[in-house]
Amino acid sequence: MKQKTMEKINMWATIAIISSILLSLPVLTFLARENSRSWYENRALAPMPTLSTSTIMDGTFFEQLENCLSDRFYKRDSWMAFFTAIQLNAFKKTVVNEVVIADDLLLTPLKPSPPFLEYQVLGNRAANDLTRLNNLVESIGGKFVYIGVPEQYSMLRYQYPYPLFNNDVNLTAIEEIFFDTISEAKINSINMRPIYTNTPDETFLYAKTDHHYRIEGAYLSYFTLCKELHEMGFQFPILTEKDFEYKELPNPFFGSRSRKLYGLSPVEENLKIFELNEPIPFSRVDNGAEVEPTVFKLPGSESEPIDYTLYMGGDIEETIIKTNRPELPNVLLFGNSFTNAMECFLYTSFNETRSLDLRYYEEKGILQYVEEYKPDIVICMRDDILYLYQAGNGIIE
Amino acid sequence: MVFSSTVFLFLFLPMVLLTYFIIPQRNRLFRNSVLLIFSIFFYFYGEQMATLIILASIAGNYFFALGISNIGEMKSRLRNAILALSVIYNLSLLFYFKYTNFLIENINHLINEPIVIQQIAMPIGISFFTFQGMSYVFDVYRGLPIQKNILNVALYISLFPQLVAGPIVRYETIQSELSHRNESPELILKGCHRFIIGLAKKMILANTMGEVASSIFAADFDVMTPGLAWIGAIAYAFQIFYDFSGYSDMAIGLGLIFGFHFLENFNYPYISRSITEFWRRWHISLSTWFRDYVYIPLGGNRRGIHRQIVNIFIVWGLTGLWHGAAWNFIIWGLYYALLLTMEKLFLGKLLDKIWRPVAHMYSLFLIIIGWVIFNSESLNHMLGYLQVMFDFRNQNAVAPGYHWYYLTQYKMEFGLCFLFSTPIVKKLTSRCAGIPLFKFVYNFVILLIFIVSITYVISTSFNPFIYFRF
Repeated sequence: MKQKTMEKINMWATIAIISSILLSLPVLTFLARENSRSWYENRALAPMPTLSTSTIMDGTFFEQLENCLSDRFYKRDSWMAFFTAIQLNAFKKTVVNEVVIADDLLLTPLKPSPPFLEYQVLGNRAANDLTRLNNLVESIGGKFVYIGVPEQYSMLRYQYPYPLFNNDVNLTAIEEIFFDTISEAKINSINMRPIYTNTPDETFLYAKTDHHYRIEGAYLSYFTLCKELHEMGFQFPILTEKDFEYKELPNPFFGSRSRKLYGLSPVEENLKIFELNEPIPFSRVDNGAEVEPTVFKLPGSESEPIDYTLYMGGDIEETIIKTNRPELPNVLLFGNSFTNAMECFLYTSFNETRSLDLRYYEEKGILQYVEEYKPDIVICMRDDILYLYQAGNGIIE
Repeated sequence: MVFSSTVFLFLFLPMVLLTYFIIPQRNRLFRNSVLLIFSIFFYFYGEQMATLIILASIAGNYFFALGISNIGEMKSRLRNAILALSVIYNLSLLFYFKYTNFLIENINHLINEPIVIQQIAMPIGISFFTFQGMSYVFDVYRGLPIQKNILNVALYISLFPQLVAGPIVRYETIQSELSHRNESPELILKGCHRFIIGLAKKMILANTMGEVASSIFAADFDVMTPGLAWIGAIAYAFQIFYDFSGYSDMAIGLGLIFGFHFLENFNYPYISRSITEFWRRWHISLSTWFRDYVYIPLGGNRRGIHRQIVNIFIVWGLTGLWHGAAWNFIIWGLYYALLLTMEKLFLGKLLDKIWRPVAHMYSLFLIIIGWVIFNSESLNHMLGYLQVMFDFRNQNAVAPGYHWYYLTQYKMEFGLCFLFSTPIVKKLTSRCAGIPLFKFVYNFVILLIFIVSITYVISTSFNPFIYFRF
């Protein structure tokens, strides 16, 4: 008799728990006002759908409702973290949430692909575009330099755990074809990969949990670039490692890869900034508005998480830094987010440093910008994944 | 709307459960009306204008059955004529929406001036609800009582748990439950268990295997090794099993919650020792539908072996075509017709005698090959994929050891898929059923599985249902 009562209680309790899960989660979802942006995923969450006869009849309302409910589900980040924990700890996966968990390193997973036959065609196209820019810069008395840096997974490709594919064949082919082709077109170029490889510990130059280099990698690219410009005949001061001191921030760093692991990354690291022994005063204008003269976007407290936007505040359409030293050359730099950390050093060597990110800057094309601004030096900085692709900072028009 | 979506789990389901169970059990008409309204909305959510097609199917089958019932058995010619009309009506709907594009495409290959028509969008689940509608008319023709209230016919055809991906519920199965059924807490709990198990099969196993299979099937043949191709094929075999049986479990579970008893659709098909046995265990509702409504009326095995073989080929050609308007589905159906014929003629006796593991290997090997045919997007892809599976001399693959990645990355899921495709767990749980506190532990485990499944629902975007496209 007692057992039957216990079984009934058990039955009703289970039904009650299942029902309360089904009923409470939607209510809590609608009551809780979650953010409109996902910090971990670095994207805007789906908005509430618009209800109208047309959106219902064409199905878009239901489609958007699905996305909205999934995106704004009650405590979504906690659910995502729980899912990540299952994949990491229970299923012991090597690839979790599109991140490869290597030995003290997070990489990006790559799908095996055969060598692409069109690399040379794409290389010729890129060289033609860069030649147009090079000719324009030279016609106004300046110099153009292309600096290529490897993306983190490309630089550290030999650390992919077996049997994951590291795309070595394709990455090597792209790099060789690109630099051979632009060298034939007589474009000044620097390939940072062999330079990084020749350092005693190349892993030290790259982030473990992000797709960028560390500040040390950025410094080496700055230093190499400046040496190259000196050889071209420009005169300006170059920062040596005696001129500044690195300082590690205690804040938890969420790189583009560790962020995808919802705070459960087995690999951790801290970001560094540097302090000049003799600061160089400057003013800074972002997208036409004067902003605080700093190159580091420092967090409010030591516990606040930080990301790669620490350097220069992240990707900005146009940044102008003036040091008011007219005897020094003016430089224009354009490229992806790899430019950000290098810009922190670059401004110290020039009178005026302008930086464009053509992925966002839409006011004019790079050719028109150069023609109007007439800089002494134009630098294009791209990562090796994008050498052959015209999109974003590869659009020369 | 898929069962494994947030909208279904956290909006639709709570609303239908609340509305349904607020109405007292004695008000069957109201409860059925609630189920019907929600079922039509369920369909409307995914197929707005095509809802008219399902309504047309309901109305047509209601009147055909009414006609057959009113005429009485004396005027058998007229009854047969109405039955034939109902078949033409249902198959015309199915043919127009599912096969017109395929037909025109093939005709255009044969003629110089191609026929140009606007692509016809296939309504989700048309194969399922058409077959259910036909089942209703067939069963009334065979003497089962008619539903005079069109709402009950509408509920039978459109009942949301089985509306878009089956199982194909025969009218005879739930005929009496449409008007008399008992929704008890025991059934509700049993239904919840079954639903949660189905959800877990879908979210944890089928979708993960789907990720493996779809990335391998989409890979360039140049990068593939035989090992990788086999892993892709095995992953697809697991995906389609857990996807469809998971959906069937959810449908059966939801049915139980609302007091309906649907028949089982799967019975551990991958433990079969022959292809004949496999088809007794796989998609049971479809194979019994074809057996009872096509194979037996054609004469089955009663008219000699030659006629039986012809019947097998007709039924399996149709089975293949039912799955989709593409040549690979027809080839897949005929492939099984050939295997079944061979087993019927001589192989079956041999399989009975040989060592059991060999018979299992024989079945699994042929089933996996069958899934490659089924999952190929074109004939070229099918042949290319099969070639890679058996080309052990290919040493030029870009990533020679890549199959190890899938094996190590998904080792737990492959292990679970293997385990749950056998009746081991079922046998263990039924042995433990007598142990005190077992039910408590079982409920706790089910709740845990529910939470984990919800985590997958919220966290993963890869969520296709293979049988939705049929």
